[in-house]
Formats: sequence, C-alpha cells, structure tokens
Amino acid sequence: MKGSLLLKMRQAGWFDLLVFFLAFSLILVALGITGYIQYNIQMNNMDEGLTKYEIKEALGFFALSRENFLTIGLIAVAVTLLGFALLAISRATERQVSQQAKENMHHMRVVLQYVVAGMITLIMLFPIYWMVISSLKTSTELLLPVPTLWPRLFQWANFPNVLKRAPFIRYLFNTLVTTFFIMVGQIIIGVLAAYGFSKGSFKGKNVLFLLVLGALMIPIQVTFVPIYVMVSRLGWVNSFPGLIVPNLVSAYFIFMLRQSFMSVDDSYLDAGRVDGLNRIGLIVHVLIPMCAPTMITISIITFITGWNSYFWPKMVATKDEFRTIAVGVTRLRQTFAGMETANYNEIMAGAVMAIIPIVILFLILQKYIMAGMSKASMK
Amino acid sequence: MKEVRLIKAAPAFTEVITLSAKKPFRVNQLIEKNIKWLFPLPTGLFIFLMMIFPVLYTFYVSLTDWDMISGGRISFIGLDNYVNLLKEPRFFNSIKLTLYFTIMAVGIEVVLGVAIALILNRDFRGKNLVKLILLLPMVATPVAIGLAWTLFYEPTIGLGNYALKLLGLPASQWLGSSKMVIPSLALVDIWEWTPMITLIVLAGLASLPQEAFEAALVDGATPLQIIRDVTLPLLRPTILIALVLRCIDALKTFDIIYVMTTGGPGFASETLNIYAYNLSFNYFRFGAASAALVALFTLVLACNLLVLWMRKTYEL
Repeated sequence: MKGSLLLKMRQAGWFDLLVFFLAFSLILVALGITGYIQYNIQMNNMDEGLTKYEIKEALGFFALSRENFLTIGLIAVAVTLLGFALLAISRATERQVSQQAKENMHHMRVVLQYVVAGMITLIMLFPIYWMVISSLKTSTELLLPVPTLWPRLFQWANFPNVLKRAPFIRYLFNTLVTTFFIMVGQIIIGVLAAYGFSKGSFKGKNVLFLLVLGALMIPIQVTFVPIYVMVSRLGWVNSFPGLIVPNLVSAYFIFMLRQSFMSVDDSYLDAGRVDGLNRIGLIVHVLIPMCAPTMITISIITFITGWNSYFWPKMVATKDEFRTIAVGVTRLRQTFAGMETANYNEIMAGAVMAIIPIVILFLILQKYIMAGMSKASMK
Repeated sequence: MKEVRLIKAAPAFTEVITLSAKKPFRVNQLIEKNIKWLFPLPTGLFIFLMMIFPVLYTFYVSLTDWDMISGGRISFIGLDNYVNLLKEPRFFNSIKLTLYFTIMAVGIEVVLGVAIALILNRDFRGKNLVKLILLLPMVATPVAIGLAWTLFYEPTIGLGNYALKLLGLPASQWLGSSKMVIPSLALVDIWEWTPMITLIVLAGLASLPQEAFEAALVDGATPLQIIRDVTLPLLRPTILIALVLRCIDALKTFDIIYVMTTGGPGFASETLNIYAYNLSFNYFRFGAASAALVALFTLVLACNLLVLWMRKTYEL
C-alpha cells in the first residue's frame, strides 16, 4: 500500500522537484556546518597570534556567512519536509492525477524558461554594459562609493584622451593586418590539407590525419620557448612575419573543412574531371563553392580568434609599431599605474575600442557564426 | 582512386578495366599518385617546424642549464632541472593552482551550462536572441573582458563589494586576497565559457532521437524523470566532449589571469602557464621553464588523447 502511494507521488512530478530542493537545502546546511568548523579552527589559530584582520581574511566567504547558510538551510529542509507531507496527504486522498496538475506543470515550465532566459541575457550583457558606461563616466563619478547605473555626465572626451595617450589607431591597423594574413594563410593551407585528407587516397590517411590533428592541438603556450628562439634568430621579433607565421595552420580549420569536403559526393568531382578540371580546378570550382557556408563560418571564427589572441603577440611585439590591440589595451593601464589616481574610465574606453570592431563584425555575420557554433559542437 | 575500390569489390571484372585504363595514362598516373601527397605538405611542413621540432626542442632545453648567465654556452645537465623543480614549492603551487582553477571553473561551467540548456531546450519566443547573446562573451576580446572584471573586483569602487554590501555580506578583497583570487578568476572564466557548454548541449539536444522521449511520455514519466533517465544518458557523449574541450582550454588559460593579476598576489594565482612564462621572460631561466612546460604539455596531451579516444569510441 505504501509503495503505491510513493508511486503516485512520483507521477505527480512534484516529488522530484522536492527531492532536488531537499538536496539543495542539505548542501546549504553542510556549508553552514563546514563554516562553523572552519571558524573554530581559525579561532584556535587566534591563540597563535594572528590578528583579527588576518582571521577575517582566512575565514573567507563561507565561514563568515555560516549562520545564514545554516538558518536558510534548516528552514529549507523544514519546508521541503512539509512539502513531502502535503504531497503524501494530497496523493493519498486523490485517486487520479488530474489534468489540471499537468497543465500547471507545463505553465510553470514556460514561466521558468522565460525567467531563465531573461536572467541569462542580463548576466551576459551586464559586464559589457558596465564597461561601456564606465568608459563614459568622469573619474570623480567612477570613484563614488555608490556606483551609478547611468553616467550623470557623459564624458565623451575619454576616447580622444586614450587616442592621445596611446597609438590606438596603429594598434588597430596592426591587428587588422595580422589577423587578415593569418586568415588568408589558414584558408590556403587548410583547404589544401582538407582536400588531401578528405578526397586524397594515400596509405594511412586516417592515421596521419589523427596525428596531424593531435600535433596541431599542442597550444603555443607549451612550445613558446623554441618558437620564440626561432623567430628571434630569423630577426622576426617586432615584425609582421613574427606575428603571423606561427599561427598559419589550425587544427580546427582543417578538421571542420575536411568534414565539409567529405560530405560532398565523389560524383561531383568525377563530373568535374570529365569536364577537364585538374585538382586545383576541382577545389576552386567544385569543392569551395559547395562548402562556402562552412568556409565563411570557419574564416570568421579564425578572424575572431586572431583578433582576440594575446599570449603570442604580447611576447613577440614589444614595440608600439607592432603591438596588437589586445596587448595595447593593457599597456594603457601600465602607463597610468605610476599615477596615484586609477584612470579606470580611460582603461574602459580602451577596452571598448578593442571590443567594438569585433562585436560589430559578430553582429553583422551572426547568422554564419551561429551555424558554425552548432556545427563545431558536433565535432 | 575509383579503380582501387572496384578491385576490392570485384577483382575479376576490374582487371580488364584497369589494364585498359592503365596503358595510355601511365605517366599521368604516376604524377597523380604523387600529387596526392602535395596537398597536406604545407601542413606537414608547418607541423614539423612549429609543432614537432619545438616540442622536441623544449624537451632538449629542459635537460640543459640554459639561462641568462650561461649565455651562449649551453651544457647538458640531465634531469637536474626536473629535480630542482620538484624541490621548488612554487612549482607545486602552480600545479595545484592550475588544477584548482580548471576543476572549479570547468565543473561549474558544465553543471550550469547543461542546466541552462535543458531549461531553454523548447522553442520559445526570442530563443535565437538569447543564443546570440550567449555567444557574445566568447566573441569579446578576453583581455578587455579581464579589464572590465578588474574594475568589478576593485575593492573600494568596484561593483562586487557594493553588491556584497547590499546583501549584508562582508566586503571581500577579491583579486587582492590569496584565498579569493582563484575563485574570482574562475568566475570570469565561468561567465565567459558557460555559454559554450550551453550551446553545445543545445545542439546535442536537437539531434537526439525523438522516439525515446515519446516512449517515455507514453509510459507516464514526469519531465524530471525524463531528464534524468532519458535525456542525460543520451547526452553523455556530448557533455563529455564539451567537458574535455573546456579542460584543455582552462589548463592553458593565460590572458585573463595575466591581465587581471599577473600571477599575484604573491604567487597566489600563478598557474603553470604563467609560472613558465615568468621563468623564461622575467628570470630568463629557459631550462627550468622548459621543464615546467613539459609538465603542462603532459597535462594537455592527456586531455587531447582523451578527446581523440572519445571521438573514436562514440564516433563523433
């Protein structure tokens, strides 16, 4: 008899929700208890001559709010248990799962969906919003203890000021040139490799492909010492070749393009061959047009990656003539660090200028990027 | 190429065909046969110059005493660099921090990302707009994002402490405190990369077979039961791939951490990556840096092999 009651409770759907709640509140209680333990440990340390501030620092977030966690957690446990009791009573009395309950569940789901969607939108946009409005505030307003959500006074002069302090136009130009050539190089080399690995037929093609993919996945963060040595021996430190050449091939590009080429049926290539096309002709006139959407998507993603890269440009471009925007923005802060007042409004103005071109590009070409992201996930 | 396949299928027939086809085009075929190798050649060359050689060279340098003082004279010192690293608390600290950062950030990202994807899975008005906004943190320059979050974490004028005050919680030092610095950095990483997990899982959800869900509905399963017993098991390969891809990225996170803390306060956020960078460009101890890089390489390689293995097993 008891078993059937449990079954009815589970069919109602509320049961699982309550189990989730119970788990959540138990986690809160656990956090509270951990906080108490930590607090006691730290209090013992007090005897060893730690100052009150050091203890506060060592305690961290969890221990300081241990009371809150414990109270909220215990209340939540009580509420959940009450919910179980109510559910048991209502299910015991009710013979059938009503249609009304099901509709309510569906309704709740829709509401939840919109609430979550709204929250995500807010959370994702807020830091960028904050960056933009901070770049327009005056430095006195920025230093107020109560932050203002909307600038009282729009100080557009922050942007010209930044341009005066650092050669931002030069940075933008460098970034554009570097990223453009990286993109072109990746397209040419990537297309050739993708063709070889998809339509070529040589021994050990697939094994070789896996090896290539594995090798290309090694990040420059691991191999920078020898690459830097090579680049400097070639005299390419502070030059465009130094910025571009180490990024000319990407595993992502070859992988995605190979997938795309493989989806093109061989009969199209045979038809092209009959029409007298050679291999290069086949690539240019058959494969590339048929895979154009993928090509565009990967190229955009390559462009974005190139624009945003920081590690290698920081190392290889140490002079203003060759700095890219990502490296240049951080320089903005270092020049000001010597001064007492932190010019966050100007740093933010620099950050906004670094982001704007890429965000605009993203908004214009969003259709392709969206398609690429869902494809990329399938790899 | 076609001929080769045909021979496998029906040897008796094709012998005649190949014979007749081969004779007039023998030279052409020779070229054809070798030209196949030419296409991946630039990639191969690049891989040799920029991947294989550097990796081997890094191994080699890690066995030498190359630093500022040794200058041009580099001598082979065997495993000394590794032995010295194992004695160095900063090295263990950096390994610990790398793993701490990766596990914390990726763990929360996966849980949050999957949960959000499950909630947003049905069609609703504005879904595409939400997807677009989810892409924004990934597109925006990480360095600029790092600077914006630095302002957020600023102890006196930052929004972070203001929010804590409103909630009645004590102020935190955020990036200035050695306890809070890694969680603070992980939060930025979570903000930036949870959307990627969500989008991957959403795409995975769209490709799941509908029959399983219909069957579960017929059996009278509740929505939460369906998620637990049908959706999540079916999604497992997708989630695993997303998880490992994120791990690879998180292990080598450089831009956010370097811009926001440069490894500080003290060495409290000096991950393996930043440790190796500091060793080579601030102390010019290339030998020791290479040994640290070999450690990082091992971690990343393990993750990469896991991805390749998973692709093969799940045929993704």
